[in-house]
Amino acid sequence: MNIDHQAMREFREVYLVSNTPLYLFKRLRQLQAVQQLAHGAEAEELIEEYIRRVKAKERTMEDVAIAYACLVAMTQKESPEAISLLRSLDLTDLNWASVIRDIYFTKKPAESTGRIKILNPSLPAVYAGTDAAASSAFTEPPKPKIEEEVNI
Amino acid sequence: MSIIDIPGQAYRQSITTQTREKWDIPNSQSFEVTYRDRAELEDHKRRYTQNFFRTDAIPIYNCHGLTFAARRTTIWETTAVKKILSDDRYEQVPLRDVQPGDIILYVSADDGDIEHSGVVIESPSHPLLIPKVWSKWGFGAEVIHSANICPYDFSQARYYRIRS
Repeated sequence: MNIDHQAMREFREVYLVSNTPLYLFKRLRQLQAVQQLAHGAEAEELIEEYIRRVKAKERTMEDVAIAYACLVAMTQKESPEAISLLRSLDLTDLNWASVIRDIYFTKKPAESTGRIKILNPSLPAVYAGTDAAASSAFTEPPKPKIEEEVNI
Repeated sequence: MSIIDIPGQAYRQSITTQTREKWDIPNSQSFEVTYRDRAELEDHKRRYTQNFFRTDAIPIYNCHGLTFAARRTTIWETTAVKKILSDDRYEQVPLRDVQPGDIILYVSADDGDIEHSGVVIESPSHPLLIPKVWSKWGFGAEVIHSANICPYDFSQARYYRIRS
């Protein structure tokens, strides 16, 4: 599988700063490079690359980051074959891989936007598809909003 | 210190760490980032030249591990962070009252995920009222930074202090 240098760099950077699996999942899904993986590679190719990376003899951070990117790209392939492969994939070799799969299957994707919407704060979030226009994880930091106190 | 038994292989273990109410906090120590990957961090540093990266990449603990578990482990479940806030008697403080030693939580505006946390080390100053923070960026470095100069969603930042 051909993954260019810039894409690898973006995968590494997102992985490096991820504190939670949901953050990793969301930020990778927003990357155009992941969307290109999803659209440009067959599900079997993504699985092969995932396995090759997680089974690498001396696994590097790049291997781990690319493996997560392939996994998240799998969640953007909506075909029954891809979903079936995703369900059956052994994900024990990466710490957050099974959590990410659970996030995908429990937060049902739809087509319209790339945002996760909370329908009710007491219920799980709903993932609402992809946003091809979304930029990389490292955009200019947002300006602070007016303070508001909201209980978590 | 055990670092990597088999280079690059996922290695997971958890330690016993509890809230004030003796609730076991789910956690894991990860070594997925090998120490020979430290060079990767240099690229990252160049993107945030205004910040001070005070360590190399350290995969064992994350931001919540720094803020709530003395840098010993990784805490990555938002439900666990909420339980810690409750059991340890944290209360939210308004931005105008934020002091060094308070903690900052970066709550995702999309889904409520507590995607980052840190410790306030300088009170918010005018004109923008943005505090300075000490935090750990994922598997990467500990960083001293303005609260808004980081790869996390600052728009819904909240501040907390232990009250009793």
